[in-house]
Amino acid sequence: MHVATLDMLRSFDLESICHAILLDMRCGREYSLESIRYIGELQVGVALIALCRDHQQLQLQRYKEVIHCLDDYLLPDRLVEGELPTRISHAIRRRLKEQSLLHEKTLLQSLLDNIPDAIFFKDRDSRFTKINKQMQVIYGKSHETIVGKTDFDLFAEDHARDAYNDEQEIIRTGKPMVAKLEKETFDDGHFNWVNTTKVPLQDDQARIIGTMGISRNVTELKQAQDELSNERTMLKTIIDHALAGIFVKDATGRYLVVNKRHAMYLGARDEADVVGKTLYDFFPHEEAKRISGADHKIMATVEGIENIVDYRIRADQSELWLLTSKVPLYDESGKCIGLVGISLDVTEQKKNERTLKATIQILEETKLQLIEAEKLKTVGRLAAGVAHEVKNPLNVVSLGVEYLESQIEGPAELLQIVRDMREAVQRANGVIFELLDYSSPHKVQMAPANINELITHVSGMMRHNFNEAGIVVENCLDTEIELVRLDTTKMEQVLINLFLNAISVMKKGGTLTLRTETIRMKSAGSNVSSALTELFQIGDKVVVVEVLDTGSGLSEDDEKKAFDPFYSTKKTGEGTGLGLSVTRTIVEMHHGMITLKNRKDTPGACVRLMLPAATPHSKNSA
Amino acid sequence: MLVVDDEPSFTRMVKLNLEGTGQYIVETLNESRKAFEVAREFAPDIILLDVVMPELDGGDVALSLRTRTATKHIPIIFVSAMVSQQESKRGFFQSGGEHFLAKPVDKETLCGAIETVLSAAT
Repeated sequence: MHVATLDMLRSFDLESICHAILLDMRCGREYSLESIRYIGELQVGVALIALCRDHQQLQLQRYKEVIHCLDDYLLPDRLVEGELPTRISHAIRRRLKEQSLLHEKTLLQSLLDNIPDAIFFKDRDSRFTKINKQMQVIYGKSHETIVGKTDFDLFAEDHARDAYNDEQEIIRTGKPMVAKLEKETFDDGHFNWVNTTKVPLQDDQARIIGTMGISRNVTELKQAQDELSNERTMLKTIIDHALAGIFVKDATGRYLVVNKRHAMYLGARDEADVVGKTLYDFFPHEEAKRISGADHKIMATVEGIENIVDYRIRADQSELWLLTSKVPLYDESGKCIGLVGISLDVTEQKKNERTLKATIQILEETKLQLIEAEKLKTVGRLAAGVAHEVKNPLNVVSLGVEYLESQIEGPAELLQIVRDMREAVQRANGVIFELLDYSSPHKVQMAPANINELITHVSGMMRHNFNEAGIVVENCLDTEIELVRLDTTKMEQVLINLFLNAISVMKKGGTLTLRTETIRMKSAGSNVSSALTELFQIGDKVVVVEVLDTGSGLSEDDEKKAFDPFYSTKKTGEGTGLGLSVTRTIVEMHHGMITLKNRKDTPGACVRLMLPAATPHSKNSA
Repeated sequence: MLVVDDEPSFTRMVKLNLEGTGQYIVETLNESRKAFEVAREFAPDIILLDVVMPELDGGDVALSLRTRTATKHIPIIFVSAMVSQQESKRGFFQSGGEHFLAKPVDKETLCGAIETVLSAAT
């Protein structure tokens, strides 16, 4: 095809219509130059051959800048036969080869320029010979400032030394270094984590002329990995040291993770003894089935459970109370793949709770007894008023009876009736007097008194109570008994309490023995308690009163607690539990002591009162 | 003698017992505010006077009797249930210059007290 103008040339897609263009340089200087430039810039696979006037034409200055675009030149005047097609086909081959080389180079450059990793080439001395764009960006330095430098110029000594050694090793052995995690520390202290691969660089003769490396910044990945690792360590520390049992199970109920504590709860030796096993390895079938069912429900409904109380008996028969919470475990896609649980040992709390409940019950009972005691106190106060009120009508009756007695002369039955009535009224009077005596407020008045008389008086007063219970009173009172300084009313109260207690333990009858004697304190070493030696000195005369019943005796608990306020063996409503406590207080007020023990000779209890005798030698007599 | 007590059954019993002895003529009164009138009219040798009574109590009655010429010479024995235990045990006793009888009182103590007070007055 013959093309006459440049515009015409531009209108063609040259590559699709020809393999070579013959440009006649004789067509004019400007036209030639423009054409060469145009075709050269197209960089297409079309050979360009200039037809020249002579060998010198292309050497002209004006063609210098475009001459590399020409693939050959011909001198038409000197062509020999068959030369033209040969020269054209040679030019086309050269053009295509060049085109392919150019293409490859472009690809390589494009790869180097666009890859997000740093790529570098080094000579045998580890000096940078070429680096890609990304590396310039990463290190903030231009190609020119890096080329010719070594790692020692860019990084801190440690990293540079390591990298240098690696490269020299590669050069020596020819073996690549693949995916090494390196910490690039810079002089200012900041650092990057990079994953680097370095390979030997060879020339045409396969001689190693240096190294080529590619480095990927993995700082974020490394940090994420480190964080993950820290998190894992933290989690493991928590799991290992938590004061609760922690476990993870997969969807089939197999233990994946378990801490030592939970292994212990399961009765296993250690964690390893549990992982991979199921509930069925640790519990009886039914129990395992029950818990396993609950677990499946959690995973099916993806709804956790909180604070479920579990009760177990351990292998050593001790009880174990666990407070367990479980939540479903999800994978990244949100699918439930198992469950996580935590079990807290609440055995101590449960035990305390039980004790507390018992204590509360005791307190409730004590409260009732207090109310009862308060009622009795009120009754005591009322008694005085009531007694006075009763005196008047009683007086009417007694005077009436006296009158009748003086008027009636017979028959004898009538007289007997009136006499009985008079005695009955007298007894009623006596009761009123005693009640008033007992309930009226008294100042403590200590005076020497004969304890025997007091005992006789009180036992007489309670004659009726003894008779009713079928109790025989046996007096073994020492007629030579020493006097004791005492407040009669208070000591009466002591005796009444002791007698009432005796009656309550001998409801079906028995013998109440009342014994008194004077003893002299002997030296320590005899059977005396420390409390005794505190109270009495050696040689002191002590009056002993013993009240012995034939009831069922005392339990160990009774012996220990009998004198505690509100301790009572009687049912609520029958006794306040204050009697013996008050009794002891009164005895202590008299500088004496009281003990309650089981009798040795026969079943029953013995209350022993020891009071200092009112002699000039007694320290309490002044 | 005159017995003043708000309890009719008590005054009746005292009257029965004392008159039963044949030695006393007994007038009884249950309304203490009439005590002076009755005492002036009846002019007893001795008055038994209850201490605790509604309206005028024994103290007030005694005051009204002793501040009037017609009655001031009549000896009074106070009768009361509200006395201390020890006084009550003694039955008849003196306190602050006055004579007291503690309820409940029997015929013997009553007669003894009356005789004691009367013989002291003559």
